[in-house]
Amino acid sequence: MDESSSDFRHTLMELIDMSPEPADHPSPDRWIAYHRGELSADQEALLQEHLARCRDCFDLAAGAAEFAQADEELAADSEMETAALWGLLRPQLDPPPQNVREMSPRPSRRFRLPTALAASFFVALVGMTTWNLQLRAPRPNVPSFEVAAAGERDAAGREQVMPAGPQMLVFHPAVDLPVYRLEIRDSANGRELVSEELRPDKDLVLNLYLPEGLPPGRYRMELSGGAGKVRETHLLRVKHGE
Amino acid sequence: MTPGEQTPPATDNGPAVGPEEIVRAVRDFQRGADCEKSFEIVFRHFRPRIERFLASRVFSPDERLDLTQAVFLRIYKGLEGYRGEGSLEGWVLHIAFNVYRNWRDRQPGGRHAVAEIPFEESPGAPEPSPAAHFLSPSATASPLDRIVRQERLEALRGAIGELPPKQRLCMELRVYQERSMQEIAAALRISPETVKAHLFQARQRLWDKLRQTFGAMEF
Repeated sequence: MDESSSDFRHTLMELIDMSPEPADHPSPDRWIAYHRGELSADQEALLQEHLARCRDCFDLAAGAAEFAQADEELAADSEMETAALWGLLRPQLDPPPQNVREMSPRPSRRFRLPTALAASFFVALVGMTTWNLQLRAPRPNVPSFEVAAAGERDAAGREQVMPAGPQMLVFHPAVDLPVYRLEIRDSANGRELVSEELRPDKDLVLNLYLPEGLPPGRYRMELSGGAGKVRETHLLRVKHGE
Repeated sequence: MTPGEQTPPATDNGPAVGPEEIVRAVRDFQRGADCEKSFEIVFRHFRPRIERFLASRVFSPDERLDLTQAVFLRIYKGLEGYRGEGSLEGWVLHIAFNVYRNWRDRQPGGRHAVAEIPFEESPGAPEPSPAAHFLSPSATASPLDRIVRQERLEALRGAIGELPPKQRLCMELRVYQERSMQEIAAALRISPETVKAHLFQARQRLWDKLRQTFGAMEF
């Protein structure tokens, strides 16, 4: 077996993945308190352990570091920039509900029901039209490839075969997570071809459009959760097109 | 603040807004008492923090400006429903982070879009082999491979268990999270030089124990 630094890296990642995934994510207030040094050493150590395993919390904590800086340091910011940005922002602020009510008096009781019906009809019409337009919208003529669920694949015990060319990969993850990462690697040399973050659609399905497709060969697809733990592994063979 | 009260124009170099004034502005906003002026106070208080939060993550000034506006529009829309369960700054940070995360995930490469700062401590080390990187439990199918892999895991677990906590954390953040030294330093509230020292010492200790198990250790 080839001894290399990558072996070490991979083994370490595997080791960390074997440890339980952190469940209780500290709140933004907690991270701000951490960066202000308001926590005990034990609490700090717990949060730091969490940072090592949770990527999103790491980014949130990095943001908290900016928020935790003292106000004196913020005073140096250019007031001109604040004024310019406020000038841009101000026209975009909708009138608050109270003002809206003042500006447009409510219809009299006599017209409330017809107005409500007309409004409902209008909303339904706009919704249906939008939906219809979405259905009719030109879509690339791309075949979709349903990646079998992990259980089915394991039962079959074989790789799945997909033709070369543009493809829409469709995954049905076994575990419901808010976000996944899909990595596709060449089985022959381990080279990473795709690394994408995917979010489930309303049907809890993950879609990945590959406009160029994958070149013929064997691939390994790994779906991991937010903390990087590999949830599913799929073997794929892309064969030459007809 | 009353509806008829005049708010100083945004170009004035007035004193910094204090926490009490922010609380009052939020309360006024929620009561509908001159929402725009109340919101301007909130805006002036949080703008520098939000811009600084985005500055280190979003390199395009135009996109940064768009995101800053998006954050404040969300704050404006949500402020009426803010019930004060956590601090206001925590709530604002949550909004800013969500806006940033949505933007980040739409970028090519997602969360990995931001370039990492390389850390080359051992230039003579062999180039990592992609095939070796690809090894995994299912790839190493033979019983012998499984035993070797298990032995490696146990050896690494033992060696890491003997590392001081900060050295272990620095190494895990470097290898597992693939973070730069600056990021690790900010997260652990230590200097980049200290991170570098921790990584160096961790590598030395692991190398002493695991040189027979792993050919090279680069992180």
